[in-house]
Amino acid sequence: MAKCSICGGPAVAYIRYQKRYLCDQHLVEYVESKIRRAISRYKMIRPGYRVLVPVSGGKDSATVLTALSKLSRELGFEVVALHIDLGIEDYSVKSKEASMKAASKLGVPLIVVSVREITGYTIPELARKARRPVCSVCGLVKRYIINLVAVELEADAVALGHNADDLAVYSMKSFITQDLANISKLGPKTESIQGLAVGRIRPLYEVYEKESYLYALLTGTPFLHEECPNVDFNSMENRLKVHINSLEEEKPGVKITMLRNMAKRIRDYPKPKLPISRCRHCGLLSSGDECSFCRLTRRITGQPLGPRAREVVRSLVTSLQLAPRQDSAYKS
Amino acid sequence: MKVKVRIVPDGRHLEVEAGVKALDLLKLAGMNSESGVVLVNGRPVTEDYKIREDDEVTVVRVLSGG
Ligand SMILES: [Zn+2]
Ligand SMILES: [Zn+2]
Ligand SMILES: [Zn+2]
Repeated sequence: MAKCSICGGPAVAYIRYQKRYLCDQHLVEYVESKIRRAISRYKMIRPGYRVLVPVSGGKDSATVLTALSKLSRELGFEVVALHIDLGIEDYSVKSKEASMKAASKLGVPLIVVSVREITGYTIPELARKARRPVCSVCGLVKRYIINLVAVELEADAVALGHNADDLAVYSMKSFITQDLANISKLGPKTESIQGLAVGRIRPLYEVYEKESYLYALLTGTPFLHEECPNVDFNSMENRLKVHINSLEEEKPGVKITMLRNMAKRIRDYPKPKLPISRCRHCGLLSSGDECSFCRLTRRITGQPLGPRAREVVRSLVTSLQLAPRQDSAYKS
Repeated sequence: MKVKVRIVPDGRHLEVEAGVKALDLLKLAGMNSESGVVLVNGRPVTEDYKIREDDEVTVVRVLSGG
């Protein structure tokens, strides 16, 4: 059996593009060092930051939560987790359970927001009423709630779980469809817009999907293997993931090279031309005078539900009883 | 001697001969060294590991859909 290239212990993985075998402990250290390096290389987090980590119950957000909760002590920032209960049958019940177990194991405060509590409907019900694909409604609602919670928390950054494979695939898809403005949003970090939107960071920018899985597994963080029942394995993204990984097997390191170069060139891509304004109902980021969440819920229920969502989230945030933000970078 | 292999998250099963390498097992399950991991008794093994008769084997597809 193969031995760890560092300590000679039994290896659990071979890192092809580094030609190194690693044992469980060194694999965990290796992934953490990649995350630490990405945080500093791309200036994702500064001391005193409050970072919101949305957790789905899956491996990638489990990895982000575990690594950031460890690094938060070393680098001096604060971590708060968020789980959104989508109401997708059995899957949502299990994801919520996994998220709660992970947060409590790591001692990270967790906010659970239920879509049903805010809108009166689950995600599949909202999609049916809006006559739209489940995943598009799901994406819209999740983006809205994540940003809303981040704004209410006065968070400085939202840490997303996109790994290197995800980002390589999103950018390939955007290239194929020539939606070049979308590539400009796929970098390691996006900036905040005061009071309207909190910037996103991607700590797993250089972490391969397989490494993210191994990290979550070997650190013992609870996560769900099961996937959302609405995932379409024939989607362009999922087809491209298979292709880029056969290329990676033949040419180890191709994904990381692509992403590092993409980070360097990210400013060369055109920016989306959407005007930035404030939703007249809820006051959050919008491209017109009504945000897409308020529009969706107004069409379904007759009422824009952004203001109600804000109320619910505000009381959840208050009940967490976090220390007040003083030297918030968000406020300055 | 045959060894039963569970595939996650699909829930499928495979049967392979003892002695097969983890990498070949990944290929049999339609994956490669980047897209899948072989667990033996719950622990990840490297691609050159040879499956033994009494191993409890799981192949995990690590690529999630999006
Ligand atoms: Zn080692
Ligand atoms: Zn979904
Ligand atoms: Zn709104």
